[in-house]
Amino acid sequence: MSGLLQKDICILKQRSRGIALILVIGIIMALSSEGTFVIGYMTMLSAILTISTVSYDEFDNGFAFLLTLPFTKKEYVIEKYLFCLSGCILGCVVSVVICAVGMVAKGKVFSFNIIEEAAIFIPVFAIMLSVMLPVQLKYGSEKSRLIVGGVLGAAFVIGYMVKNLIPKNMQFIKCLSEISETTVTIIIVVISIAAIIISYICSMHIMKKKEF
Amino acid sequence: MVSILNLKKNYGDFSLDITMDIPEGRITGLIGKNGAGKSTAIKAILGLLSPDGGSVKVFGKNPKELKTEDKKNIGVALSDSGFSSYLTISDIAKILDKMYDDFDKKLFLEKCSSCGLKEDKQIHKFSTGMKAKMRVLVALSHNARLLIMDEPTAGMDIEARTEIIDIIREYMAEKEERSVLITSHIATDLEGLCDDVYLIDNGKIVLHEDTDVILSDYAVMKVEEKDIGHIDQGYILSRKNEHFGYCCLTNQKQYYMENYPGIVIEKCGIDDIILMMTGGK
Repeated sequence: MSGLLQKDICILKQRSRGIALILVIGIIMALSSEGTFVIGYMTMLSAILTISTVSYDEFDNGFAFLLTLPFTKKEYVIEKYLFCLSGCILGCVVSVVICAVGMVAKGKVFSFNIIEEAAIFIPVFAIMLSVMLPVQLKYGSEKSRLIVGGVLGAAFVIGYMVKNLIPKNMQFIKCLSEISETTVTIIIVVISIAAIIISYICSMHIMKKKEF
Repeated sequence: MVSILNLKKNYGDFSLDITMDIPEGRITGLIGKNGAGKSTAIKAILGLLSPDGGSVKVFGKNPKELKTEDKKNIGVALSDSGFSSYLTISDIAKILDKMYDDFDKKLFLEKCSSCGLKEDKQIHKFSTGMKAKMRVLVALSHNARLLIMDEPTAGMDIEARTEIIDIIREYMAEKEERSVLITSHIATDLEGLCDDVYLIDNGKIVLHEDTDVILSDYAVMKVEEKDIGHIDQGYILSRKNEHFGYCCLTNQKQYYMENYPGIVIEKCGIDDIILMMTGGK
């Protein structure tokens, strides 16, 4: 598995200019804007960046050769999840550091609440990874862009409908708004763990069935 | 090393149905026209597709059940697939170093350098010949017992093809227990390299013979139409209509030379066999 990790690191190294650009934009955002938007922005880009290694693997029918190398399909799938989740966490940590430096540079006091706020991005983007990875493995990078776009669009429409079309005085909505932040965090973490497990099982099934 | 028994795979109109054996210490060639089923056979051996019937055994195991340690003993070069073309030779050396216990990084980089492959150049910037050389060097880099090479010389000029064939020959000469399965539609590449060849046509093995036997005993006879009824048909494997009469392929050159001295008998190579066996009547 270390060889697979090395391969993905080498692929990311080839995109060092793109990574540098993300960092520069992150620093500018941290210096010019308030809040933790930069953390969400950088964590999401880190997740997308790590997932893009799958499209490098499949580019030019690369999977056929890749799967002749000394690892099993199961190891490939495990490595991909570990790599993407690690990338997501690393992106979050780096963005927190940038955010902290930005606050200090603006003469503000760094609040440790930001770390708590940042930590919630990890399970949120883990859910995103759990949708994107099996779709990418099943349909390839081109089709998966359309599918993920469709899923995000549907999520937006559902969110819009929930926010605007359902009466605010409905009992269910009232109950939701009364849930504490801690409970919401626990729910998101539990959902993300469940999503990753289901996603991993789906990805394994896809790779076992797939012919190259 | 590899045994294939009644392997079946269907793709629409195309149907593969082959039986093959790749013993230890031999270079086996799989030849045939484009679309004959060579790459499908290779992919089945590597576990990259699921057969519809029959069995494939590599080191005595189903290819899909090969463990990481088993796969370390296989070196693969595919014509249409390889490492991401955005990687460099230096990146590939690092990856192989982590993957294989027997990988000699220094030697690999030296061989790449001697083949003109620059360490820090991305693969997509290499010429077709350079990419092919790199794929072969990768397959040979980790002391594999079994080499599987699908069209390693495709799209290359004669000089580059000879260089690749020489690299494979040297690799085999180093250790007797190594085996190679190599496919090509350029038969002359395989004549001086392979111990035996399988000829595949339209998904079926139509001939299996030792290369030495092909070169010594096979011949193409040019027979006029008036003579065709007078010669022994028992050793004629295939025949084709020509403007002068018939071209006949035989595996008993000596017999016809001794008994029919008036017939034109020409030495034949693998290319002639492909033409006669896959296009004859």
